[in-house]
Amino acid sequence: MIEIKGVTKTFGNVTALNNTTLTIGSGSVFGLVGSNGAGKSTLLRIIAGVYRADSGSVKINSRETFENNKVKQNLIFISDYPYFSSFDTVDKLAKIYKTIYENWSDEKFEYLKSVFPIDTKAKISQMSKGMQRQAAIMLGISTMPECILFDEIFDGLDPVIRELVKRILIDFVEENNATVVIASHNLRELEDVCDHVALLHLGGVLLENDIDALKLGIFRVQLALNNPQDFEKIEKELNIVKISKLGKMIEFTARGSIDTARELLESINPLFIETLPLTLEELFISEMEVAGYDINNLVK
Amino acid sequence: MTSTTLSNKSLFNVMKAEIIRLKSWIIGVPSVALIVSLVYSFIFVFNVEDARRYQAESEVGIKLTNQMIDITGSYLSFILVGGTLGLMVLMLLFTNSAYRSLYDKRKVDLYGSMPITRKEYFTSKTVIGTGIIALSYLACMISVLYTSIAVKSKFAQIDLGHIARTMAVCAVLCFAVFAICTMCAVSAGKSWQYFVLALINSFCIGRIISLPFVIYSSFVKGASTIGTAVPDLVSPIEAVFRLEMHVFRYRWIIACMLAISVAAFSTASLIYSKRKNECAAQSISNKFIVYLTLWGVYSIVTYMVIGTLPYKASEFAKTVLITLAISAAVSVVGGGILCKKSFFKPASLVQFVCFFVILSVLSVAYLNVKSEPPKTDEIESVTTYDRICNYSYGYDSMLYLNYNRGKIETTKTGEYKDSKTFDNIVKLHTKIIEASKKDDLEIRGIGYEKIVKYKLKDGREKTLYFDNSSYVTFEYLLKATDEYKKELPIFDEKAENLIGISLSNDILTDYSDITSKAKQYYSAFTKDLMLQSEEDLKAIHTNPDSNGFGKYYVNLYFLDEDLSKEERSRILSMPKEELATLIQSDTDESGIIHVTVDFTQNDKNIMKLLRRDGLVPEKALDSEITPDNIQALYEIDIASYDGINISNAFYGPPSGKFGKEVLALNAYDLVGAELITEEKDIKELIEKTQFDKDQTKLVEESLAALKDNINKSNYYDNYLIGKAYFAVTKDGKYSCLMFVPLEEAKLVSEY
Repeated sequence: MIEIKGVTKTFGNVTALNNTTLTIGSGSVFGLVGSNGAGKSTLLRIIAGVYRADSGSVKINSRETFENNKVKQNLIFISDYPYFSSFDTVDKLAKIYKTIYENWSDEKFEYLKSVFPIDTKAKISQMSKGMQRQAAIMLGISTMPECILFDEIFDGLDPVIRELVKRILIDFVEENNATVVIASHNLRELEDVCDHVALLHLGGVLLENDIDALKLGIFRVQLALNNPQDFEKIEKELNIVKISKLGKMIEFTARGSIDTARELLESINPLFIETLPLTLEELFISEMEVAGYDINNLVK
Repeated sequence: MTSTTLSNKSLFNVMKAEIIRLKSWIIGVPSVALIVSLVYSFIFVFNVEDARRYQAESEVGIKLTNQMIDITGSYLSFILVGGTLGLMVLMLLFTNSAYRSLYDKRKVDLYGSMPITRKEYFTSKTVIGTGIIALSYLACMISVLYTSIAVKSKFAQIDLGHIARTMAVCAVLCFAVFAICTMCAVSAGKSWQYFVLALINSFCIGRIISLPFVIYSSFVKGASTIGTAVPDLVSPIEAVFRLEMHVFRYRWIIACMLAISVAAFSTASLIYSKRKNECAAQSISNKFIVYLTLWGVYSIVTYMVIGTLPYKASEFAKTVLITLAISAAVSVVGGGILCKKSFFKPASLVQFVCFFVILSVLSVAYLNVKSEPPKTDEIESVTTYDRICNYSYGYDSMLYLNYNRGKIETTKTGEYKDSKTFDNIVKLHTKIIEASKKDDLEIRGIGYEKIVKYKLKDGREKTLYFDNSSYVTFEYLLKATDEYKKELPIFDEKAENLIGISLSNDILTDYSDITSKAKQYYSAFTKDLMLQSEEDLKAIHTNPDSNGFGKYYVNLYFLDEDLSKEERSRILSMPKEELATLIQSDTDESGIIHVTVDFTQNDKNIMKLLRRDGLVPEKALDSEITPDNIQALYEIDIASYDGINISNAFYGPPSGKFGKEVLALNAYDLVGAELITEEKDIKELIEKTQFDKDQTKLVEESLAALKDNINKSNYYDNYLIGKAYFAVTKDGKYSCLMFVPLEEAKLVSEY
């Protein structure tokens, strides 16, 4: 379990994380989403022990990570642009990782070598971005970590490899009760693999929940009314997040029970009504709009 | 470093990983050292063999050995100086490679998330770097050993201990550079920043430390020259270029370099433990290193500024103002480049200037080099030391077994507890400082130094270093004190034991039996000695008229106090000639104690007795020396020699001229003396020979200056320039030197 309590991190005058608190349970695949500069990568680096928090604490299984080898033995962080020196090959790095990581599994490494289509004797620096990422994933998972931190895992991977990575991750979590945290803007992919998600904005957590619960708690409705003014009678009873009206057509996003909302809407006799669950991406946009991060504001 | 404990297993694993990662360095650097040194060795030995055959055919036996030693010396010079500089460059690059993970965000992500503590990371790289240096010198040692054995078996005995000492010095110099590089590596945010910091600090660190001393030296001349020696001892790169010198003080240089290394590694460890990973690729993580670097740049600039100014105390204020202005400019420009905008803040500039001022003040205060001497009543005791620095070294001489010419010797020469002596010393100290303010003193000579250590009543110590010019003055002042005089050997002896007196100069020894008046002489000597002033003593050594051939010493011969009554009676009853022979034998078994005393024309009591007994040696006038009244004539070959600067400074002719020609680099030597006593031969010689009066005077003056160090000239090639004749009149009252130059100087060895 990863416990993040009141973490603050500043870089000069910029506050990347502001009193952030989050708990990530074991055996889950946790998605970190948020706007650019929300603090996702910084949070991952603090969890990984790369950065030290200015205040607050980050614990994995009740132990601080910064400068703690015991915790880091069971943790792997794969950044958005993993580093490899000009002379590194996967096999050479495997030797180095093997000496450093006590839980290194040759068996797992051999298995991953067999499934990922890359030449482990070739210089990694000469490989494509996607292949470099595959190399990093191979090496990282072979250390048999309890906690895997990915920053933009799907970047540069082709659709087939993306599916492969998802499968490998899910299998690994199931087999080892590992915790995986993925920071990404690719919400479509996250939706497939994550069971929990947290939305970060301006260094704080806007929301955090089970992905299904999140989806159930917010919905979008399209309806047409003979007299659009009828909608005003029930509008206050709906927890509307966002609304747009165009003649007889009304479209809104609201929180709460979709059934209760439908009952209310039926009471004003709409010409037609359609309720839709939101995708993660829509959910993200919706929540960000609420937080003032609206495309309409940006293009003013 | 952190609260995390260092697990051996974990460190071992990290070491293994680092060895895999830095394999190319660990194998590459020592291999390059081995290959380069071995190739050079093979070429060297091959050429030596060739040269030996050539020389053997030419049948120039002894010269062959010397030549081989010269060649071997240059070989060592190349391997050790060149190799060490090369290795320093490689260590500069290695350290960058070892810590490059700190200069890039991507690398920091990788290494920062790995289960490696900073302590393990730092330790592993330090151990690997040290290993590279050790392996490289081991490789170098193999080739040096091979060369030494190959050369030794054929040509010359080579001092392997000397080679080992030199190599140890080289290794610690390299280690110190590695430590400084590490300190800079963990501070820099980018590779170029690292290179700037490392190069400046490796080169300037000695200057950084010595700057306060040098500024002080420019203020009070003649008081301290220690500042000029500091850079050699603490700057590893500067020290490489003076490797030969450090062989003689290798313990010092090793200790200093190890201290520098420990300080640099400790600072590096501290900076690294405080370093934030988010500094990667952004800026220098710690401003301390920036201050140090700017201080280095600033100190070099200061040296240049000081070098252009006349050495006047009045220029000190100007020097400080100029250097402060330069430091401000350097700190703004350099700091701006190294730390970007943040360093332009006025607060940072003030901080830096304060740092400079505090460091200077603390350094000067700590080293206790104030311009005022302590007050007499504060002094508990004064100890004096003589220090002789002789750097006339070279690899050729070092290669002979047990034969090292260059050295620094510090000898305790006296300890004084008399307040009158304190008064004198403090007076002299004040005088030297005053003289320096008026530029009356010339300083910065290398050679002889007098060290005076004041022990104060409050337990503090204050040490002063007088260079050779002030040393001379100091010497006379000390000799003029009662405390010093009472330590003279004459005061250890009793008047009743004085059995004979003789006069002598550099080449002439006489003996006179005056035992019946011995007590009077003893009393006269002790009285006059106690009355000799500083000026009298100075005159004995510096006035050419009372020196050399015109200068006599008085030899006093005492009976040993421990002699038995029988032995004493036997000696006293000896016939005059037999007693003279016994006295002149000058052996420990003779039972005679020989004491020599300097005296001057001002010594009234002595002169009175000498005149009474017809023993006053006077320098002859032209009219007083005739072929008829000469009793003895000494014929002496006079040679000039090609002196080096150090000898020129001390033993050159005072005028710097010989005849009408300027021969500033020459000095003169007595090659040998032959006594001519046959009246006929003397007459013939005096009548036939044309003496050159002008040149006689110059030779006389030069020999007077040479007197105390006559053997020093043996090191150099002598050229015979003429003959000197030293005449003594029949009545023993007059003596005279006459010089006959040769038309052409001849090399003494050929002659």
